[in-house]
Amino acid sequence: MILDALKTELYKLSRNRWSAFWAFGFMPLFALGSGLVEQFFTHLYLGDIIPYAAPLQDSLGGLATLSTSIFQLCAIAGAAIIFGGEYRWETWRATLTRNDRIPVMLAKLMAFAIAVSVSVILCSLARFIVGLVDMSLTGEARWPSVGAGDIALAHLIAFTATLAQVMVTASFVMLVAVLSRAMTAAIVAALLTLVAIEIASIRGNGGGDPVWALFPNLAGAGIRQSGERMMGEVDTLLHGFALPGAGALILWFAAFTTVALVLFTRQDLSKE
Amino acid sequence: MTAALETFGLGKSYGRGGRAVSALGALDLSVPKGLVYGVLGPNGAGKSTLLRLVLGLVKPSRGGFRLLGESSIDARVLRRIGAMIEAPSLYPFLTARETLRALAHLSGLNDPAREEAVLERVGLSEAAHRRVRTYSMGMKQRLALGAALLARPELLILDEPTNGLDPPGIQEMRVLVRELVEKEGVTIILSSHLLDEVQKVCDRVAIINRGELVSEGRVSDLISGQGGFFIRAAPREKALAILGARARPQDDGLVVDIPPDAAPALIRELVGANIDVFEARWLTQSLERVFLSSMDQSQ
Repeated sequence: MILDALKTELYKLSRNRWSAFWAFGFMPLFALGSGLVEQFFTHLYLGDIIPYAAPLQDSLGGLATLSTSIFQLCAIAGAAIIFGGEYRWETWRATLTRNDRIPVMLAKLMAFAIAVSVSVILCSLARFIVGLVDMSLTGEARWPSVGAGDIALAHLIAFTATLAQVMVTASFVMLVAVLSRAMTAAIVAALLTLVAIEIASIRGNGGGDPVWALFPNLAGAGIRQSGERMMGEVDTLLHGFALPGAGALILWFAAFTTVALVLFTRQDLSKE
Repeated sequence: MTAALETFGLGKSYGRGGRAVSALGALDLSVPKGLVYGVLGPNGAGKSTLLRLVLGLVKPSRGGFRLLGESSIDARVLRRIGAMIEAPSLYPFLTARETLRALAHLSGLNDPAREEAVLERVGLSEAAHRRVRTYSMGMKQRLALGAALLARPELLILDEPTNGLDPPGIQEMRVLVRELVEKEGVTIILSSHLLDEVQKVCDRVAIINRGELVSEGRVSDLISGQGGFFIRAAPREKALAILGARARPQDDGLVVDIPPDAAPALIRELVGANIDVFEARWLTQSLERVFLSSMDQSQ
């Protein structure tokens, strides 16, 4: 049942091309475009500030593109379309007369996870390409002194951290969509909450008290920095948040998802 | 034989405490398999609420039901049912062909030939490549019907299926509904406020008002015998004098309230009194009159 629902969600997403582009395709293009502009401006106008390129550090950094609130806007819009679309188009009565509620909602979550994973990986690839362009312009590159296994693991950790962070946001969007039955409410509430969290967590950026790991942005950063350390990065103040951060992200995701699913299974769809 | 749908005191209220509004009282209904069952009622009577309840879209406040013999409604049961509830609900960014493909996936189907056959059946083959947002209401209604037919359902639940259809479309819908029942053995539960359509297409009806069942039975039983026995005879005054209080003038004749088996004796009585009988026939009651009469009685 859940695979049938997942197939449907991915099919709908593939056919809703314009929305899917803005939600999941725009950020990688933006990362590529803005990176190239930055490189050409730096090299042609300012001169080489940093006399070497680091394409693999760039690709690792690219995995964090969707971790900040403003850049999560696209993913939030994508989540709102997936979770709030059925309310907006009043299509629950077409879908829930064919499949069960929980598999349908979980399939939406899975479809979002797949789409956002592609987006995160493409962001990383875009930054890697920018790094290569930087290398060709600078004429010099630095590569991590660690082995390929550590590089791959660092990337995997960073990818997982960003994915987990965005999935917490998606589960929150799902909850707001179920509560409000409105796509716009899900976007606005999620974005404002993320911005508020980022502002509130500024003091936690220096690390220290692990209670800051409850903030999803710091939790994600902590996990990513533990990966960056594997590639020789030294400026990793938050890497101590990695473990409690992972726990916090799982907790937030589980809490939002469970509440949303419980409410959804009990919800009267008298209009939709 | 198991009924297609049985409800036991099924009811739904919205809100709580003193502000609760009852959308459906406590409905006891049994819909036999293999026929077209009409659910009639004015706006707000509870027709759509009943259909949403049995499809699991809203949760009952009281009572229960069995659908196709099952009291627990999950995807296993839902996949034996096709449903079209209220206005067509479709994804505006999909074409008709894509809509059927998406809903087929959701039902666990993988039969593109069936999708094409359904498009053909509902007359949308030519427009199948167009996005739904460009469709007229009637085209959306046809597509929603096609989606309901996709999984070859045993039971089809249609809520106001002729809304938005033009007269030829209504005629096609009527033919399709009868074909599905008579040739494919599908059971159809159909709600409508178009009483003439219901009379033409349904075998049995339930009339609901303010969430309560006010009348139920075979359409032929509900409309027969209740219209009176019409006689055109001359001289009319003499006939009226013989029939007395049993008769009342109507148009150029008389309408007599008698049971069906009393008609031959009545005609013999008039002929025996040297009255010329030009016409004698049973007036059939229209479903509309039955409906309005039921509404009056339930007020």
